Amino acid sequence: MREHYSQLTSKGAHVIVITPSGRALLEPFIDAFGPFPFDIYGDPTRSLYKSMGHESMQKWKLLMKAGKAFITGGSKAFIPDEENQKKVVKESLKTQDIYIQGGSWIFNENGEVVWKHIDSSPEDHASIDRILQELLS
Amino acid sequence: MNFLLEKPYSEDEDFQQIIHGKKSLVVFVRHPG
Repeated sequence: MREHYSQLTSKGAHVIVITPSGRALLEPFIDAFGPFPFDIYGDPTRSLYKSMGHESMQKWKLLMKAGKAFITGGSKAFIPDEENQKKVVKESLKTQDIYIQGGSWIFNENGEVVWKHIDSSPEDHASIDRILQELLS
Repeated sequence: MNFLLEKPYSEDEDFQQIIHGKKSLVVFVRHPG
């Protein structure tokens, strides 16, 4: 996202990111990983996620995927080396809802949905190219 | 229905107000980090 921010905004879009976490985790996250060119918001109750159809993946499915990633990439697949980042990620994995799935939505100026992609699994993201294409249409 | 979102180092903001009046790309992530 951060790497493609200028491409995305060049299509006239205002970009925001929503996380299923609260301020208490987001503030140290931004301190460790930021700055970010877009605003980040927290929906710790996941009420917006749920109202828009984002679902939690079954625990066993996600754990199987995580196990596979661990076997191929070791802990580096999840945990960064830098100390502050490592602390935030560990806290996030320990305390946050890691099962809720993400997605990408485009709204027009009237707040109407013009396109959406709800992820069905962690690797099921809309590509940047697809999002750019949708922003142009 | 209003959805109040927590903004780091700032006040809560209503989702509809955030996207109102501008074309918006809203990305929901699984978790930070």
